[in-house]
Amino acid sequence: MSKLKIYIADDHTFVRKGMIRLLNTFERVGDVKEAANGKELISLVQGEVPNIVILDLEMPVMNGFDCAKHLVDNHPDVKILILTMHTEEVFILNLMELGVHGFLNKNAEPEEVEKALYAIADRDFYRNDIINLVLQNKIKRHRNVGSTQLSARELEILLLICQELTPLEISKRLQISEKTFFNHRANVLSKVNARGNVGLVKYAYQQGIIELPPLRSI
Amino acid sequence: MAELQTSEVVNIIIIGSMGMLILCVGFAVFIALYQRRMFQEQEKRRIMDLEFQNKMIQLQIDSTETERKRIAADLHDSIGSLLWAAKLNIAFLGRSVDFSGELKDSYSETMRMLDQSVDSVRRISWELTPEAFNHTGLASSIKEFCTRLDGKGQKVIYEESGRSVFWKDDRALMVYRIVQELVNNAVKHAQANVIRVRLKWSAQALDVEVSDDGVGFVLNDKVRSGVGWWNITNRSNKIGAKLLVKENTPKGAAIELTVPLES
Amino acid sequence: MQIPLLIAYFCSLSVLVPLILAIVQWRKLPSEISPLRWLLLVAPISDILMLTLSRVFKIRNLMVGDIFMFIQFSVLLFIFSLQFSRKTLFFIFYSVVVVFHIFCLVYPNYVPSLLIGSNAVDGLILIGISIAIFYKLLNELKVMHIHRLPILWISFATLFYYSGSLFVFLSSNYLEGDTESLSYLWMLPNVLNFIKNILFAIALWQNYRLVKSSI
Repeated sequence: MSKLKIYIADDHTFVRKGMIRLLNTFERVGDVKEAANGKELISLVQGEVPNIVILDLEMPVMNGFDCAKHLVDNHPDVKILILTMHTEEVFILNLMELGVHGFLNKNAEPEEVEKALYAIADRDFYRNDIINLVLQNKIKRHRNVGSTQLSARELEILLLICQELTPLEISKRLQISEKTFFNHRANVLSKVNARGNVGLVKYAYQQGIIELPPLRSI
Repeated sequence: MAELQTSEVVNIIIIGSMGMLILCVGFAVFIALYQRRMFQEQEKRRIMDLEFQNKMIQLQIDSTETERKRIAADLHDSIGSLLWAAKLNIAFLGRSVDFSGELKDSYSETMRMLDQSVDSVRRISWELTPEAFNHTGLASSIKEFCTRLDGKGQKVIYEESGRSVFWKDDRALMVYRIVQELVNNAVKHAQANVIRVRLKWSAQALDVEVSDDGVGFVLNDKVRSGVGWWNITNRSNKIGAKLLVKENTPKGAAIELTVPLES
Repeated sequence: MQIPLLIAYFCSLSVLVPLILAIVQWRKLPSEISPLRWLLLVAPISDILMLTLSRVFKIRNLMVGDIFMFIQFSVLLFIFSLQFSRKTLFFIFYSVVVVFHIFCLVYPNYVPSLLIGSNAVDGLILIGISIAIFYKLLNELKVMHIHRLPILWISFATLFYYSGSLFVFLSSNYLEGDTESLSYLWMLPNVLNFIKNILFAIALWQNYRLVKSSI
């Protein structure tokens, strides 16, 4: 497995330096680059596309929100992990709708950072309590209203994605090729009007397809 | 000739005394007039002073609000980030060196301290200004506030009825501040077990009732009529709200705030 | 002894009331009314001087009275001038009066006999100024209780005294020849003097209260 190329955007030098040191201790992390704001990050990405960017929300020149928007629109392959002090539900909800791949609180344990990076790299999203809490508090559930538009296979795939399996695992389980899996996933995404796996989880929860695990307090 | 002179002398005496009398009366009238004008002026000045005082209070409330926002943002962004950076470095050390014994204890304690510090920073800055008030609006912020206090020495129950309005302007923030102050007062001084915050929406107004089962309060008591009560009344004046003490017994207190929705 | 003379003595003695009040607070008088103490000091001196001249030396000298009147005019004008910011106007008033008096002394023949030896011009000026002060007080509303303001009593005293004097002067011209009436009329300035002194006393008393209450 090739090593992950990760870019960090944060306006605090200490945070960037600390992050780089920590990331370099992770097994699967390869190249790490840093940017002081959204603009710098975007020019870095334009130079060489990374696997994952770690974004702070509060930044001068260009904030994390605008930066994420730009990346989602122009570099859909780049996975976005938001790392912020601002875990207010509204922010998270907006970012979820935008199509970012994961959230971390700026108080997370190093192990969680590692876990989140791998989850995003392998399974396209990282589902943690931040997301669960937002789903639970902010999403009004209306059971089985629109889910009928999905085919049985698509529903199956949606469920498996929500169970946090990797594409490879899913295609093995369903005995289809990985390419077919991605086709199905693309169909689901366009049908439910989501922009990534986080959006799919949100949709699934909204439709009552999945339940949330009991929450730990964050 | 002599007779004529006598009457003339009389005339002169009359004219003279009249003149002196008029002078005296004029003087008295002058003093009365002055005093009346003074009184009117005083009244005018009093009203002006009152207006000025009100304006100062408004300004003070405004500046408190901006100050709070600034401090909250600073806390959050600078100290929060620095603590995070410290944690990253400690974590890096922990992963680079194999600690054992005392060193390991010290390491994990430092980690925990940092965690607690971040939590405190987050909590304090949220209490100063709900970060996302502009996005969540009044009702959700009050709800969140109640949830945060719930179970920490007392039960805080939040209830909402009527058609909820998404309200987030400066007046809404004032309402939030008043509720915050009332609930904090109840937590600090009333020895209450249950505090209830009830929002009742109607077409024209929002009724907020904060009630508790504590020991009640005395309005001229230093604690209650101090800064807290002063803040509450001034804020409710600022937004044109009516403040009503519905109940105040040794078994509980209830204060109702009625805010007209359109100012 | 004649009654008018008794009244005259009594009225002259009345100056002692404000004088005592002035002496009690000699150094504490605010600068805006402090010149009054000199006037109050000069008044008994000039009275004694006049009395001595007429009793001991049997000289009926109107000059002392005139000089006193001039001093009184100067002091009052000075006190009033302190109330206004425009000092030039007062200087002009003063010059006019001085020139007029000198003119009367040097060329008595060119002055209408009516005005010789009178203080009509001084009086008119002071009456005008004291009315102006009343107007000014009413406009500025500087103090809460106007009756506590010494300058109010001083200007009222001036207004009262000088308009009374003017009246006496006019009627004395009118009653020329009627000695009996005139002798009664000449009692009036004494009464006016008495009232003036009482009003000055009130002014000083108010000042005394003001100083006391402000400590």
